[in-house]
Amino acid sequence: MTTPRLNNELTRRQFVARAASSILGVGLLPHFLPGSAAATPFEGASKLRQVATARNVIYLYMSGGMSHLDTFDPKEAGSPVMGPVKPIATSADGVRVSEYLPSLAQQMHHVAVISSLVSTQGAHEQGNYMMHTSYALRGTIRHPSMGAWLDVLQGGGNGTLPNHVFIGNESRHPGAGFFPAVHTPLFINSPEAGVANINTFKGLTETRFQQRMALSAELDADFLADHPQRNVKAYADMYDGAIKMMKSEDLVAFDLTQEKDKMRDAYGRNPFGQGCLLARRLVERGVRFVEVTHGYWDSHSANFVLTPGLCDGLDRGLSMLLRDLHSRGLLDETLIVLATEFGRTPDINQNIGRDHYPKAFCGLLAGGGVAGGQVYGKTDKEGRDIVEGRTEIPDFNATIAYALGLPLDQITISPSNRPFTVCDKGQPITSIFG
Amino acid sequence: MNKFPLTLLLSLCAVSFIHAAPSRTVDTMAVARELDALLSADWQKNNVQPNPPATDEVFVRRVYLDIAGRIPTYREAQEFLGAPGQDKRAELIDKLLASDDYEMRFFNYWADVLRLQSFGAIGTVAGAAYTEYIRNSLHSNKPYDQFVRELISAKGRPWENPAIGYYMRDNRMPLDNFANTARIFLGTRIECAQCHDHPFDKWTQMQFYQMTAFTYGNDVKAIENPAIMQPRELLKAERKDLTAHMEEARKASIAAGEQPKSDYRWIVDYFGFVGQAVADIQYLAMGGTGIVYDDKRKLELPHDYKYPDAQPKDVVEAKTMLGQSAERAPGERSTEAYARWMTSPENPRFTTVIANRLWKLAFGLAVIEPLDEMSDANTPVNPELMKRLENLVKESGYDMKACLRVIFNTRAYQAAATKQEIVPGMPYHFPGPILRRMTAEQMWDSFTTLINAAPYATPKITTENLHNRVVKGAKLIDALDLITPEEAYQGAKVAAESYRAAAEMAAQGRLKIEEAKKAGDLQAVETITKQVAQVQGGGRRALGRAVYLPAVQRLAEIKEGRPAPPSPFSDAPVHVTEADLLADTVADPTMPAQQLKVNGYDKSELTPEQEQAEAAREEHAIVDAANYFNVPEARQKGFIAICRNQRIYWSRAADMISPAFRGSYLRIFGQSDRELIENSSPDASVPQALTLMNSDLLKTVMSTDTQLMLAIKRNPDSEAQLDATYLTLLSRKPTEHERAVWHKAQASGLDSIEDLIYALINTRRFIFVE
Repeated sequence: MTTPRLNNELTRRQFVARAASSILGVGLLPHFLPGSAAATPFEGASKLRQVATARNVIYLYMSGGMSHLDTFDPKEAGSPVMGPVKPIATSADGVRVSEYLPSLAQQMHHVAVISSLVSTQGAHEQGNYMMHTSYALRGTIRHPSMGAWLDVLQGGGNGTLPNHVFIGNESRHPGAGFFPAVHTPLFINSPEAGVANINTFKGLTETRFQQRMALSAELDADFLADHPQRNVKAYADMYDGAIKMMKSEDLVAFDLTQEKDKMRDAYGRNPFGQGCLLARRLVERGVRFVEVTHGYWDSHSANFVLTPGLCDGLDRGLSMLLRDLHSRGLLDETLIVLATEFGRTPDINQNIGRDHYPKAFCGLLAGGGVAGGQVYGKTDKEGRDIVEGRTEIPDFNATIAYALGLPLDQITISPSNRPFTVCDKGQPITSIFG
Repeated sequence: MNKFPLTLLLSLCAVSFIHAAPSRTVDTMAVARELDALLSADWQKNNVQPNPPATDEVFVRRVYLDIAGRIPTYREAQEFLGAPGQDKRAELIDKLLASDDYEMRFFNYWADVLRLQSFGAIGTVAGAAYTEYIRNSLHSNKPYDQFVRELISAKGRPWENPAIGYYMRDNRMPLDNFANTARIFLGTRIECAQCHDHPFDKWTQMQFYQMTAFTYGNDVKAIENPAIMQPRELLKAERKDLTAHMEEARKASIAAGEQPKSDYRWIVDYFGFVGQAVADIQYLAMGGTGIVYDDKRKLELPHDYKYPDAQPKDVVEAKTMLGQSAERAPGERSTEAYARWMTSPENPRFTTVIANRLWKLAFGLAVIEPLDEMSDANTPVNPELMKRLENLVKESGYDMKACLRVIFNTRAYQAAATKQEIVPGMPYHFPGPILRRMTAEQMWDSFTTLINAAPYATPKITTENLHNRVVKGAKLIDALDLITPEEAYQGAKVAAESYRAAAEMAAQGRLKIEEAKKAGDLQAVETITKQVAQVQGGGRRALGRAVYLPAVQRLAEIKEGRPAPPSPFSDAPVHVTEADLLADTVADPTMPAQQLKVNGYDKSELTPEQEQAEAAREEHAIVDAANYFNVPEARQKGFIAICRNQRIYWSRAADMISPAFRGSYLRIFGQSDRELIENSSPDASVPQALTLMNSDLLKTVMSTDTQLMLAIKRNPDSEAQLDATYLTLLSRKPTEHERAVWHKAQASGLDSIEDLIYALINTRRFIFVE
């Protein structure tokens, strides 16, 4: 008699039931032997939990390693580590940003800068993975991204639109990790193109489409009757879901032509800017987690030519997003996150570039209950070392999870029988919440 | 078919890969009957009713999918269903096992198990070589134990021993690599024990490390030819020398009461750029990265090892965790001893796992589930069956085709699929295969079958691309052996000027952009930014031309039997302008070098007669299809072109990059991202439904000159066309009820065959395998 065990193929969908039962807590897990090294996994995971202040997350990922000194942690003008870049004042007292971000400077009263991030990963793939999952990249398991955790632990959101959307071309994304594929984000390669294959064929009338689907159902009826397997039925559910989505009024959220030109111009006519606009539209309709990527920050050479160009897109897109959400009354419930895999070296190399620097870098949090106009943590006068508020990647992610009201110490068992929490042992920065 | 002549110099066996070691003869039918008898006995004991026999229609569709990885064509289905004879099923099984389709279907399977990626951590050259190697191994029906031994004991450069891909895939993660080995070949999941004693099973962390120690001598190593390693010494020496000179001159000036003339900064500056070029000589040789083995590499326990049997950081000696010990013969690497131990018929898990894999490929479930997570508690439902299967594997000499032949010929396999849900933990007695959804590759390959009017083998363009990547890697590295460190250093100095020019352009560019911004000229800002970005690769491109190109030129001359050309590197000062940089747009810095034809490196050229014969063969197959589909003579030339196009744009999954890119149909259908072992998903998803209802894929299937539409058009009247539609999509004729349903639909407005096709493709019965 085979031991009942989680079998990858047949029970990926069933583990969700398992996860729900593990809400009951660590003590009820049957397998851990007293005294074994695994007896108290995740001892040290944060027990903090709050009523959610954020309903949605817009996660802006700067791919390639965004330089901290050239953006949100500028040092004195003329400092050798600054090259030609100068800091400018912002709408928030005592907060400065680089001169490359003039529009954002006017919105910093909404934003909390986390100046004291540190990562253990200095390579792109590993750093990207760590930032998205809080765990190190391994060859034997894939961890879920925050959007997938949110979908599994809370669900909610709009009934017909997916809960988790990814806008951008970045091929690396942990997706659903070890959760079933249904929690994979919907990937939108380009904001202008929208959802792939969402419209029936040109020239195919609604009537004919319905007739075809009805014929399909009739021709399939005896097969479905004969085969009650769950994986057969799951297809019926997906077709229903797909058709609901096709007909959904909310689908218009993906149609950027619904916005006035002026609005689209204000966000910036580039994939990032339009991606931010699309994110706002999706969040308006209840999509809970939207990621937008902006590359290619990896300026090993010509940093002071490439970075201003990148900052331009970021500046326009993010400042407009903040303004827009605020004016629509959505900023309070929408957590904006800006993240990257690592910073860039304070020392400028011979190619007038900056190299990878995970020792100290920055991220942003805004909205979703976060008090704006502040800087959490500090680096030294050349941006080399953290002097205050050291924040590891799991801590940064724990702060996001905390805003969403997710349980940080709840253990979920993967299909391979390994225990995980949302952010490993990350501790949220509770002081930044208003 | 001698497809890839260059690749393999096996360190273990000099067995030609064209003819695999002959399998010991298996009496297929006799063993199949034995398996059926063992199943029968088990059914009796457990009151299980066998499923009724599958009809020929169900059988033909299923066996094509299981062996060839695709549905049969209209013609193939017709031929099988219309053929007389008792033995037609056995003959079909033989035919499919001998076909090119077999190699592709099973490549998809092993690519999932081995997490084969064409690009990424594995490296593009090693990835291409590994892909070729797996295809070749399946093509020649290499015995499974030999295949595993080659993987586990591999070392060398990608073109010398492409099996190194097994280790390159887990570049810098030797512990994870072992966890994967244990899972794939020993059916044992031990990854938990990497960090602590396994919480559910008997394995300890010490055992994990002891097993990893067998392969820890393997290291991923970049190329370290003298031409790569020594220029940096030359640079250091030259810089030291020059600095000393400058220091003396400076002292002399001061002593003479003069203002010291020079400033040292230019030395730092100059050697900075030369240093980058020197470092990049190795960077451009990354394709040659391979596996070296060094006994001196010792695995240590981690710093937080907490068990009483050893201290943190203690050196770990290799020791097997199950079965017998693995003794090293004198002169042998530990990976060789390990490979032998692992693939021994005495190894308690090795044969069980492959027996389970082969059984599962046919039945959808293994005799012991999960097959890669065996534990002492996990016993087979039918131990006699398990044992007989293991013995079959051993008796056949680990010949996978021979074993599959037996399994497919059992009555149990040829029964109808089980209709009930199989709940995990519920014992399954194999009254028949279980119902499965097609894998992503089977779905995709079935669509390409519906599209491609003429059957085909792997298009040349794919094999050439793969092979070229490997060959180019070899060419560059071998060429480096022919230039001296001094010549390489001189080349680096020449290239350094391009590095400098690119940096200067960045500095100037920044100022120009500031001006343009002040003037409000956004177009100029964009143009200048783009230009600066583009030229940043200029240094490496110059290096490719300054070092690699002359090296390969030298190699080409020598391989032609001519003397090596003299050093091409002159001392003349080099000046690189912005215009020079902007004009240099080659994508890959080593491209000019790679493109030089070198005797003995490039794909073996066929003689013009052979080329013609190839082309004629291909054309003949297409013309045959044209005649079958009654394509008029006048149209045949165009038809040939269409078929050639179809092969390129609608090629089989095994011929595409691995994995296919995110967003492609294959990935939407659930193809594994090959990040983890067997990570494909058979689950439904909204994007899949949207694809099947709305995508271009469907439009293409229904366009003219596809196999599907030609098969339908071949039939004059609408009833025959209805039959043809069903035969092509489902390998059977419609039932009376289905006929009636279609007539009713036609009467109510669905008057074109496209309506029926659309409806059928969107049924479950199309994508599930009965």
